[in-house]
Amino acid sequence: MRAVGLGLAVCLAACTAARWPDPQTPDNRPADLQRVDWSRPEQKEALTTAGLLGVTPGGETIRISTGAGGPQWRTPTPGAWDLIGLGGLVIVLDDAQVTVLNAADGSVRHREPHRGLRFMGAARSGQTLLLVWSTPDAPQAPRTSRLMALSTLDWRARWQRSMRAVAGAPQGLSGGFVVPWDRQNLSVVGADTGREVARLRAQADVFDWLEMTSGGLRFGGKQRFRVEKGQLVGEAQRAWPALPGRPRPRPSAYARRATGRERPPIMALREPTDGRGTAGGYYVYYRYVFRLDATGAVRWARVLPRRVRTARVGPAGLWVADEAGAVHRLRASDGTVAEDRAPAEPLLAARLVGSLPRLDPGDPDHPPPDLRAQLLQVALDPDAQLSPARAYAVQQLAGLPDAQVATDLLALFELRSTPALVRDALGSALSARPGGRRALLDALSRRFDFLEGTEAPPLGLLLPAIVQAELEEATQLLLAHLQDPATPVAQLHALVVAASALQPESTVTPLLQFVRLYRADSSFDSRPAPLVAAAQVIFEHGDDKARDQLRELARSSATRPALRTAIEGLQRRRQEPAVVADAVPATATAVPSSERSAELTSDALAHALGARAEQVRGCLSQATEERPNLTRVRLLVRLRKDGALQRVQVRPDPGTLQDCLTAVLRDVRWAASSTPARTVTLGLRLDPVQLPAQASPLPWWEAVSGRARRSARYRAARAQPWWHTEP
Amino acid sequence: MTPHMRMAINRLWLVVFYTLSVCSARADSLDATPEEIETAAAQGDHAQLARWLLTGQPDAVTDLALERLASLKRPESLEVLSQFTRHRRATVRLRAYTGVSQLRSKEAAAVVAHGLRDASPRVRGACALALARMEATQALPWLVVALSQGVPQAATGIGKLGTAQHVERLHAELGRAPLSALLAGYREFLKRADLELAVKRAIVGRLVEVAGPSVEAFFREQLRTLAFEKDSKLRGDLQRAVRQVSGAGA
Repeated sequence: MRAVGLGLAVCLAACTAARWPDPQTPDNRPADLQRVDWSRPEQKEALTTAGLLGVTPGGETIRISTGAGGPQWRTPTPGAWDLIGLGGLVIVLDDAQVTVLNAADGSVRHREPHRGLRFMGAARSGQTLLLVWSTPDAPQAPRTSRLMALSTLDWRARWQRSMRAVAGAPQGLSGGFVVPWDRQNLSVVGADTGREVARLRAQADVFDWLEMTSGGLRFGGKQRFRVEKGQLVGEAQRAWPALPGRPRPRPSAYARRATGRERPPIMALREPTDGRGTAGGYYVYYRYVFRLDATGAVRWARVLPRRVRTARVGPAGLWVADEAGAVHRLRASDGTVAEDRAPAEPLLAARLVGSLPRLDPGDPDHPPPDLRAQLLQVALDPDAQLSPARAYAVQQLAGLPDAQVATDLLALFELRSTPALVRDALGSALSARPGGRRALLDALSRRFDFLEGTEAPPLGLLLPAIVQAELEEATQLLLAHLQDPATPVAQLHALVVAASALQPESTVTPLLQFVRLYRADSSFDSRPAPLVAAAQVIFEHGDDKARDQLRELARSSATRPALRTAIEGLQRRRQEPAVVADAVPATATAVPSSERSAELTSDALAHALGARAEQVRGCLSQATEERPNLTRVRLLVRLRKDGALQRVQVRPDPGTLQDCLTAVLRDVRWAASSTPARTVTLGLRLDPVQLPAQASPLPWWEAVSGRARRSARYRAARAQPWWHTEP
Repeated sequence: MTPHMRMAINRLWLVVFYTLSVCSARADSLDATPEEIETAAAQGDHAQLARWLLTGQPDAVTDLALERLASLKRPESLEVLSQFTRHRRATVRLRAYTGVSQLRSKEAAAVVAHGLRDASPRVRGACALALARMEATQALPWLVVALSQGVPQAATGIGKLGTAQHVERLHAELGRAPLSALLAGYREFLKRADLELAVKRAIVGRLVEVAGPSVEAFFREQLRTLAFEKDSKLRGDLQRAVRQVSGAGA
């Protein structure tokens, strides 16, 4: 009889394992959900004193007091690269296994190999520890996961489950665990039995993260949910504006656990909310800490001496441990340091554990933080690797009402050591700021003067910002710099382009004088680009008389060959029939009825898009907003025999872009053809930095990509579309 | 009139006609040759020279045209010459400033004074000397600044145009600016009849403190070149200074 009972039990366990997660388990059944206690599990041996757990480069796991003194314990964990603090336990990870340590003394309690799977996370509920592994990152790897529950009393397996799904990091509940899987489901399993007692299935959103708050479990993807009276309830939450590095306030349950060296110390840390989602938080970027309010506005900023390894929000402040094992406690009110713990030893990974005591409020008479000075300190930090956050500081600085800020921005702008990314942010900030335009003009007014000891302004830096700000009043100053012999010849081309972009018509006469004066001179023999650019402007924006004068210069034997060739080329191009120019909207009122339709070629398509620059800009802006990483798309246009548009296809398809471009191209008249269907493709390389700041829906750091920025700084100035077509 | 003479006259007419027709045709041409520049200069045709300059010429032609235009000393040329003070080649600017300085007007002096701000030290130095030649008193403050900023040639102008107070400025530059440039300024001060004897004697006294072979040579040169009244105290000072300086040197 006993044998039969044992057999039944084994069969039951095996059957349960085979069926898990049980396909019969209903989704979102209120009765099931109502039975679950969604609150935090009780942990009797939870650490009461704050401490810093760390993994050293030498392969040891240590615990350091957040106060003074050396390590409290030290346990060899060769090859370890990350750790998790879990109440009274420490889960240490290396490439081969998970090692469970006692947080109080560092003794090893258990070791469990990964068995070819990727460790996703661990959770505790009472005397049970749940470890979860899932499919590794290999592209063709089968979707499989392993769950293992261990008793923390005898370290024997209480239950094990495997499932054909990708499970994420679990969360402990009072009496059970929540296991997310396939980003769609949350299974609630009993801590003792491993039986699935309830299941939540996402309907309008995914379940990507889990978070235990004082009010119970919260979870969600873009939205935030809780379970109340057996029902899924959405919670309002105010999102912060996008931050450089895209830190997630709540890490994904499915994220790969990166090693300490791999993981950039970029964090967004929310303060615990009271359920209304009004709390502020902190944004950590390597060595910088920004205090943000509920709206995402910066309240104070601090530069720390070393890179942050871990940070945790405590009562009335932020606790930060850096890569040298130092602990800084920053007061929430003003960012002043409540207390510092001197560096202990280098750490690859670290966790602040235990209950963090409330930070003392500090001197009530302490003056409020000088945010302008703090942000300026970040912006001036010489670490070029941290440019994204420095540029973020610039953007925040530009938002301050202080009148001195425009001067600060300009001074930063003129520093030659300022990285391009920061300079781009400064350019946008200066042009958008009320006093910024004046500051730009003032900077441009400066001339080289030996007696006064003044240098020529850094035109290479100023011009993009001036063009972006559409500072038409700067045109005459630009022309004055063009004529100034102290202006480096390398800057002249940019000056011509910038001046003509601002006021093309009014620059024709001065540029004609300029070209005439130097057409036969040796000054531009090595760099004829300024003269050629000026000739181009005259050809494009001048009247017939101006063009005739240019042609006369080209006929002169004294005119330098480079200029002569350029003028002749311009003239030839002007005389050629402008086939592509015919690709204009059929519905446009300005189109004459006698207009000839264009043949479908890549050039004609590019020109047709260029003729609808604003519409296309809108389409692409929306697309880049939907997919910030979108840098290029391939456009395929197919015509019917009668020249009507048959299909527009965009790859990769970022959603609305295909429909948007179809609408733009629908009214283009194309020539009919005897060929049944014609197809042409065109690559569009997006360069959103060329969008005027006010027009860009993206934060600038999303919009800027280094190579495109460097190569295309003046394309907008040339009044060309800000995207680039590729054959 | 012999047939030979008639033939010669006809040939002359042909030459004149050809020359005139070529000249009128060239007048509309963009490009000028050095010969045409010389011809226009010989004819005093400053307008034609200016036209050629403004339509842009090769370097050598530009340089020649500027020199010739300057040599005509026509006030109307100021505008064109001023334009060339902003040319990218420093040699062109140098010629243009030199040309402007020959016009000897207040406006011209203002243009040349602007040359003290130029990026090229050669241009700055030439302008400082030109201002001295032009006796442009209104540029004196700028010459003082230029001297302190490192334009040693400004000392000559200060010596020529400055007052007793400016002597102190020269003294202040001793040890900083090249001594030869400062001595040129002192030379101008000592030459001047409108400067008090006491100031001149103070100059000699200050230079004795500097001493050195160049100062001794300077004193000897002053003894040779200056026209002293009989029993001039300045002569005595200079003679004593020579003895002191040469004695110090020995």
